[in-house]
Amino acid sequence: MRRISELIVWPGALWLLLFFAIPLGIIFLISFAQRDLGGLIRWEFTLENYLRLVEPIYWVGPLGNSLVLAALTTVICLLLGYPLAYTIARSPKKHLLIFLVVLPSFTNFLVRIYAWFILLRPEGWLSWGLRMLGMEANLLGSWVGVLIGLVYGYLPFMILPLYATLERLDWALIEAAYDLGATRWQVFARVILPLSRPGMVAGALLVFLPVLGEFLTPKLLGGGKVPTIGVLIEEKFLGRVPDWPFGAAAAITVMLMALIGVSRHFHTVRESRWLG
Amino acid sequence: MDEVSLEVHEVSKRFGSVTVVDRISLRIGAGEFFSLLGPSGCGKTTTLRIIAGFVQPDTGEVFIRGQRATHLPPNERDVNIVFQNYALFPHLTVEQNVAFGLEMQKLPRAQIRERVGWALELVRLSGLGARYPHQLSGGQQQRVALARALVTQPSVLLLDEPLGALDLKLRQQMQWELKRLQRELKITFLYVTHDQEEALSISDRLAVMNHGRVLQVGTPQEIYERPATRFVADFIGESNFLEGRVVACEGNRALVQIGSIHTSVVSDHPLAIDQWVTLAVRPERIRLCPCGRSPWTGQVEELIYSGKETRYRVRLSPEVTLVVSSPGTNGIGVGERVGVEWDEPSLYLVDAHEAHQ
Repeated sequence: MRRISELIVWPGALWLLLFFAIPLGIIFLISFAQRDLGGLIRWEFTLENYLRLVEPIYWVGPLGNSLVLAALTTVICLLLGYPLAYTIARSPKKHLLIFLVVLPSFTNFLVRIYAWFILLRPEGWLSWGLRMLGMEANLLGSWVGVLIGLVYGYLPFMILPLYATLERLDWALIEAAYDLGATRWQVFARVILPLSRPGMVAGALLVFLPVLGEFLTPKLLGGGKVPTIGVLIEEKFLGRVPDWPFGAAAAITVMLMALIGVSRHFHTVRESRWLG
Repeated sequence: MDEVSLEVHEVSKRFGSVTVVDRISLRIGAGEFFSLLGPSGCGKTTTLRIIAGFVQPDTGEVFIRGQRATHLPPNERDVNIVFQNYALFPHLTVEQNVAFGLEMQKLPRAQIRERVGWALELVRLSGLGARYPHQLSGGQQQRVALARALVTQPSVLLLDEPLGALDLKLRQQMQWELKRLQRELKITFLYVTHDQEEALSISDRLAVMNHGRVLQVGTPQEIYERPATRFVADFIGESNFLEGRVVACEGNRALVQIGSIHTSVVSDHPLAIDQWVTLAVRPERIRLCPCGRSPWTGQVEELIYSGKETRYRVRLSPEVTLVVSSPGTNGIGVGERVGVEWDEPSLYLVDAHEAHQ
């Protein structure tokens, strides 16, 4: 038995090694190299790439934007997703409803964000509708537009783990709380909410982490007006003025920030039944 | 019954086309240990949930300490449940679990601590207050559930098969414990179980239920000695049933012919000549005797020795066999012809059918 369990680990481990660990190592190395004229890499050690990131123009701008967007998206997804996940978990049609939550994911993410682009632009009917109501609406190229897109894209990742936790919540516990004299609000605050914490943490991580490095949504819906670290990194690698070492340093920094930020929550995720 | 602490009046509940609870009425006295006994699906748990307020009855009323409670939500009823699987809050310690009800009543902290200490001592769990439920054994979790439900000193404690998940030894030990608690606290216990032995040994009075109806209410002795229906006689303990025909009636006595033998029984209801009736007799009320002493004779077909008793299956006629239980052994073997006898009140009427045409 032991030998089989050792063998079945290898394909996946090899895959991660080849396509995750090694590229990450290369990025790590590049982040300490220097930019050559023409944007390519000169292999001379420097810390300058990291030091540049500390300049306000980067951490107040793209890095700050990414953190704020990720935090806002997570909070909005939690506020919108929790009641939804709770209702779905208690519904007799929960399997159908949860399928509907996942359904949009069957369409390519880029296509869906592009659809929002069409909706949000000044001649799109969402902006048109808002203008009819007397509101000056230029959602495309604004924070609100980017947030709409991010919340839209990542809401299912909040709902799914929350649903998994709430669906398995022992209803007898809720009855026990009522029986002991708790009001509806007390039942929620004292029993349901604490017991759904693993789902909330898992959902928050699944939203916060990807949004932190997200570049597609801010790039398409932000129209250059909402620079994020993801957009910055993408431009440093693929833009007209490439700077791979600086892009690599930014990527490593985002990754480390995310790691540090969530490391203390990993035990909670481990406890979560959703993740096993 | 000096004071009625719980009254259920003509309560019915249907789920779809099934009547789960069918016009049930119960009056349970203050400080009484009352059991609802019946097979699974008989409506006993639904009755309990109606009393707790989790199920709204279609008709009928519930009174708790004389106050109409039929439409009160569960959190406003002065009853607490001990749930079948305990339903302890997994994210709270033992102390926090027990304190929950008191905190809902917004008692001062010092008082809560004192009452929690008292309750944990009551169920002999002092010292385990800081543990979480998953760190406790099943028996200990059961005690926490009891402490949590008792600590607010409700008028009625509802227990929904609370010992069902425990093994036999622990269950017997907890039965003593429940009796002790109930006597010390003088709280009314309404105990739901499908275990007839448990219900008999633990209750002051019990109601036997089947198909949503209460068939009989009485003390354990009354229920065991005088089952009102064939179902009760069969469900509580063990009974031999004999089918016979009424051949003569006089007052409340009837002469019943079973096979070729005549026997006399007492009936509360008037019986008619030629009516078919079912009589019952408990195996342990039957004695084996020498053949000539009793009109009832038969052959021992099978015997089982189980230490405290020996059980015999005696065939009286091609259609009729009796199970006889007697303490110890008496040298009777398979194939022997024996007589069977019993004191007259041990054979009683449990069912009367329509007269045969």
